[in-house]
Amino acid sequence: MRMILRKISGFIFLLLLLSTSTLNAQFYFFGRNKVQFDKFEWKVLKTRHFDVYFYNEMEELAEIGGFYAEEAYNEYKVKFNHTFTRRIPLIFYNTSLHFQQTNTTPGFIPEGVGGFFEFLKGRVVIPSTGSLTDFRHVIRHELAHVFMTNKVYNVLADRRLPTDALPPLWFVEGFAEYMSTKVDAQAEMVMRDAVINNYFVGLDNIYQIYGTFIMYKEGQNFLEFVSEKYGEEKIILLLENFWMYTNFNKVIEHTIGKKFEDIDAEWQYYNKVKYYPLIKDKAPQKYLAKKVSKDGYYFSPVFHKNGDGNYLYFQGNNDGYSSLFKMKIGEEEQEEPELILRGEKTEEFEAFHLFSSALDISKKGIIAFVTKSGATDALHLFDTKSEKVIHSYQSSNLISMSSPKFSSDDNLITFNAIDQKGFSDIYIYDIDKDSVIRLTNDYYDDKDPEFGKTDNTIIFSSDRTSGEYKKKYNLFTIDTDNLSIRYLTYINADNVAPVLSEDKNTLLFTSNADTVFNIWKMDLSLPDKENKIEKVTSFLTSSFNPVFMDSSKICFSGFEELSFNLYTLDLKDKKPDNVITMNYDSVGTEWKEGQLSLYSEKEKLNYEKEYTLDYAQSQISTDPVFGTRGGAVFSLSDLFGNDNYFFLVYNTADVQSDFLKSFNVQIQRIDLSERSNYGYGVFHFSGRRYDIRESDEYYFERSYGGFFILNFPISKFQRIETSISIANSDKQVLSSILERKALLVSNSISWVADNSIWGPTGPLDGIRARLLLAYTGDVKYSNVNYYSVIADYRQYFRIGLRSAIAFRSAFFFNQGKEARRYFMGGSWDLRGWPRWGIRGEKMWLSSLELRVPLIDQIAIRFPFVDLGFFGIRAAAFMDAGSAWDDQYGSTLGSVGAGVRINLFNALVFRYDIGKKLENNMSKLQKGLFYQFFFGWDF
Amino acid sequence: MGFLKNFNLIFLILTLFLVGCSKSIIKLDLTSREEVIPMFGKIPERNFVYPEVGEIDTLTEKWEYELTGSFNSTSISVFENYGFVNDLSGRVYCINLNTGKGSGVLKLKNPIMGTPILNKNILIYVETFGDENKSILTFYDFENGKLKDNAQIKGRILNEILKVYNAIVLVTENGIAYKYDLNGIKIWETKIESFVHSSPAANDELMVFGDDKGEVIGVELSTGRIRFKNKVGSSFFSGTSISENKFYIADDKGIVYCFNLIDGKEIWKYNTGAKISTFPIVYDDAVYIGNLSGTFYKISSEGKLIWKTNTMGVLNSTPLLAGNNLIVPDMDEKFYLVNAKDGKIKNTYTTETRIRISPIIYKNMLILGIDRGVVKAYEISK
Repeated sequence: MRMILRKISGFIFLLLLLSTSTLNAQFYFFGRNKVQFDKFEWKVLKTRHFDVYFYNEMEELAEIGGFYAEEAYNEYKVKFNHTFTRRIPLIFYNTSLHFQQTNTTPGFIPEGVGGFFEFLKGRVVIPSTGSLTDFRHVIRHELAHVFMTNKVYNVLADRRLPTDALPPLWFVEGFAEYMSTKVDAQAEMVMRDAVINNYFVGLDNIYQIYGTFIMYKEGQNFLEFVSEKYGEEKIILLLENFWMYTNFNKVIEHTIGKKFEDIDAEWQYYNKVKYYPLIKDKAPQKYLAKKVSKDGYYFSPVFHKNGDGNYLYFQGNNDGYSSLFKMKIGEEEQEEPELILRGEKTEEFEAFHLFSSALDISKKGIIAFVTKSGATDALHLFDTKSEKVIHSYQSSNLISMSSPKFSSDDNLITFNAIDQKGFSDIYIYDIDKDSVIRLTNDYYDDKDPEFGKTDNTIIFSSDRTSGEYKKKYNLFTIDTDNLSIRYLTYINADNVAPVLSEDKNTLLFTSNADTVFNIWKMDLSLPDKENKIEKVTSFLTSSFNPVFMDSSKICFSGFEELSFNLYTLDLKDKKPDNVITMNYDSVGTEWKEGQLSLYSEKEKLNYEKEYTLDYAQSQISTDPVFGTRGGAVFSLSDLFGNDNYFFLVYNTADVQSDFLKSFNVQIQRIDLSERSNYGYGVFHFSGRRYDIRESDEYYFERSYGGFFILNFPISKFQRIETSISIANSDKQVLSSILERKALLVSNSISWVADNSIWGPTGPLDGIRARLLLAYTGDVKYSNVNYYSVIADYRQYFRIGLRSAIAFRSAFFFNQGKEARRYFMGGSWDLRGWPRWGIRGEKMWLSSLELRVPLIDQIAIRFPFVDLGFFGIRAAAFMDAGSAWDDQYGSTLGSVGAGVRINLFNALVFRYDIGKKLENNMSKLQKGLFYQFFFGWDF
Repeated sequence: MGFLKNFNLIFLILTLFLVGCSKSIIKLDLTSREEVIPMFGKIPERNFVYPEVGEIDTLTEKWEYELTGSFNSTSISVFENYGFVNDLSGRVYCINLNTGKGSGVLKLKNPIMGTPILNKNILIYVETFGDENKSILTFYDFENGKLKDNAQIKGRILNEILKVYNAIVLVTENGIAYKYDLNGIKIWETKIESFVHSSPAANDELMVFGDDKGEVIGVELSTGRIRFKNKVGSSFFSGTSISENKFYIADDKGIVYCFNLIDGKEIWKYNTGAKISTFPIVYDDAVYIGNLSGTFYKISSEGKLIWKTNTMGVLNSTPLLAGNNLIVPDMDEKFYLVNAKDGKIKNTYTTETRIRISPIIYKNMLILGIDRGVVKAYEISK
């Protein structure tokens, strides 16, 4: 739903912006860019119930996805007692990186989003992660959304009830998880941590975790509880009974047949009974290992001994940007992590893949790591001595790369990567030759490679496990000479992240054999020991990516109290908690994924654009000045959101005879299908206008013409914007009989940069900048002829995790015949001064603002409803600026402080108190000014 | 062309206006007073068989009639040549089945979940409340166009009610069985103490049904005493059918059961593998039933498979057996003409949208209902 609103508001904003671009160049926006690095040649596979959209070499993945979708459909049609009367579009991308380019949603898709169902056009959009198990899970999850929303719609529509209602988000997401998968290691890890560490919230307070990952897992857990205690049939009945009450809590009460408070209490008790006994023989990492980082999000450590000490290098995020860190470790108190390479601010290191890729370090102190870098991932080599990237490798065929590991001589690096087909395989990169060799090539998910006892053997994790434990991730070895693959482990669990000790005799890995991921080891010193694995940790929650620090001491990342931290542990003299002797008797032949059974079920066609309505709204308004007017705005787009048409029409006629000439129409097309986005359109505007810039008067203007815009994103953080418009303008000031005719040609070019990250009320870190050059001239009558320059620079200096000093400096310059004036004053710029009361053809403005957290949460509990306000922030500010035409006047300013409250993540309420400064900032005006406004901080 | 579009719009607005203003009344001139199909499944034992129809060759669309709301898996009751059908927006419609024209409508505020019952000139239906856990059993005189009696019931009625001789029996969702006389006077009530979504059937002694806990329950009609309550399977959402001294029901896992009507003991069961929500058709020593994964079965009186046919659809409305032909509705926007002897699909008829209403045969017409409240009639050619 949020997605729909965002899309609609995005369209409206774009429409308003473009429709007024020639008039209000003073207003603009920054924002990052969704870069279309690739041109996708879409094809469609038609199955019995789905249109599966795929591109390039993804045919096999599309067929497998189509099979999964039909399989889920056949299961859900029974569970939901429901069918569809339309075909469901499934849009597949081969990687998360390509998925992040989709225009089916206008917003940015963060790392880790597995897919989404977009309600407006009923589109399901899913990337491959290289794992068919994950791919199937996400397809099932999104189709559970599709079935649920359609079922609820029909339950309401059948009864002629309003159809705009859905269950709350915790239920919607928990339901999709419940339907699509069993409780896995990740869900169990989160629930154990939440219950044992007392941040688990019951139904009554579930709003506190709205939109978080825990919300998904708590929702799933609640439905598991209902199914187990009250019967599986209750789950679908919660949807079928949805029509009965507008309050979903009452639907739950009625369906289960108990009071809501009692159900909530039972659920919490159920989890205590389930998880509290685990403490008896399992413990949080901090009690059994040494925690070496403070609360943050730190992953995949590697250890390196430098001349002056022992260091851990790792990737993490402690300030909003994923980055590379180092930390000196010793016996005494640990140091704070030190940032050595900042990510997410430049195109080169656009994103570290914290959850999916590990690091490695060579004996010489070269770190191998992966970041997104433009269109694909890049493998970087970072010298810890010079603290510089010394080499990067990138290939257009290897879209997504992960977990590089050095060979024993440090000349080779093995890693796994996803290719154009969307499958993950193992590769070896030769550093000297700058070339890559592919070792596996199939749809099994091969990952986490590690050089084995010799450099011509690679140990890796793969779901190619066959037989009794089909599709489980076991450890395998591949001989790089003859590419023969053999099992290293064969158990009914997922074994990942293998790492060898320096003497190559001990193999560590993590395994969910005991529900969550703990650390296990295998003794490789003698061949006959290879059929045993030993569990070496019994942590309550999962641990990841162990590495050896010496022959017995290890370091790893662990999940505890909702954060990921680094821990060290000495395995010396540690007795195994559990030993599994592996039996390979039940290994079968390689598994094959299911296929669409009937040839008639699949029909492959080239995609042809079909346009459907995105948004339509009409409005009639009456205004004492402008009279009564009515209009409508609507937009159309194709399935991928690449080709968009916007239509605006309204009429401003006061009398019937003016009806035809008072039509205001704008039609425009925006094409987002390629890296360069362009748009063009025509318009006709006619009616009375209010000129705030010049005369403070009303005037009549009829203008018509066309425009063309072209934006080129240099990277996610920078772009060039250009526009040209031609407009015939007849303007008449009403109070006098002044008339001005002009054929205006305007063109502009801008450079825009934005790498800022935001807190609840505005940016906290990074920069935002714009430099605009424009020229406007009357090519027919020479009545208008001026050029414009705008330079606006904003930088945000972090002084704490949630505090910042924000600085803005902007300069606006118009020069020439009938040059337009800029204006300022009010809450958005020069605070305290009359809104838009300071005007001039030239203008400058500077602001300095301290932004600090004030109150994180206020909860007010009335007997009938609970109210909560989050993210209340305080600010102290100083503004200065001036505007003039020919002669510079006085510099004006203001100082003050205020509070800001984020309301529903949609807008910010701001209230400021301050004093105005005049006479070139030398004199404080008497009295205070009070100002409130809705809007984000600059 | 534009003029035609404007004309259509004005016509639509006028039609909506006129329909919206139509009176809430059904008043009919009765002649033969024949109760053709007085309730869902014709008789309290639930019978979906039309042996008199004989061979069906083709079906041709004859008329369609549009209602306000939509249907659940309900059906149509017939008195003389009038069909009575409920919808989920709170309407009971009367349709002249010969012409396909409306003959009256009762407008209520809450959904009517089950097929209306006919008793002489009295229409009996239950209005189920949304925001309150109650229902109203109403007796309406459609000869005089007047409300006769009503009775408030604790709990919601989400299933089909029954007329048993001179009484109405029903079971609420929250598990209370009631018996009312035909004047709306309560005779007895019995607490089952479990949720009930399954629809009951009855002979002259006993009402039987299943509950959400997977129990089959027998309630004596004369006293309301629970004769048996046996846990047998998973949740029951299907209807119940009685034939001779046995009753048939199917559960959420797709298991079809045959029980002894006297004591509720299991005689046989057959697993179809997917949830069943329809009534079993019992006729001539065989049980006909379909499940939600789209497979239709003919099972022998010993619980052995005779044949099965996979339609790939979703069978959630009770079919009918007409002579040697099964009419099997599929929510996948079609219905099938199936040879009852061998299970072969003789013909497939598509509809505009999902089929919701269990079909009936009236004279030479097959009548069924599809999504968004459209009743359709097909002429049968033999």
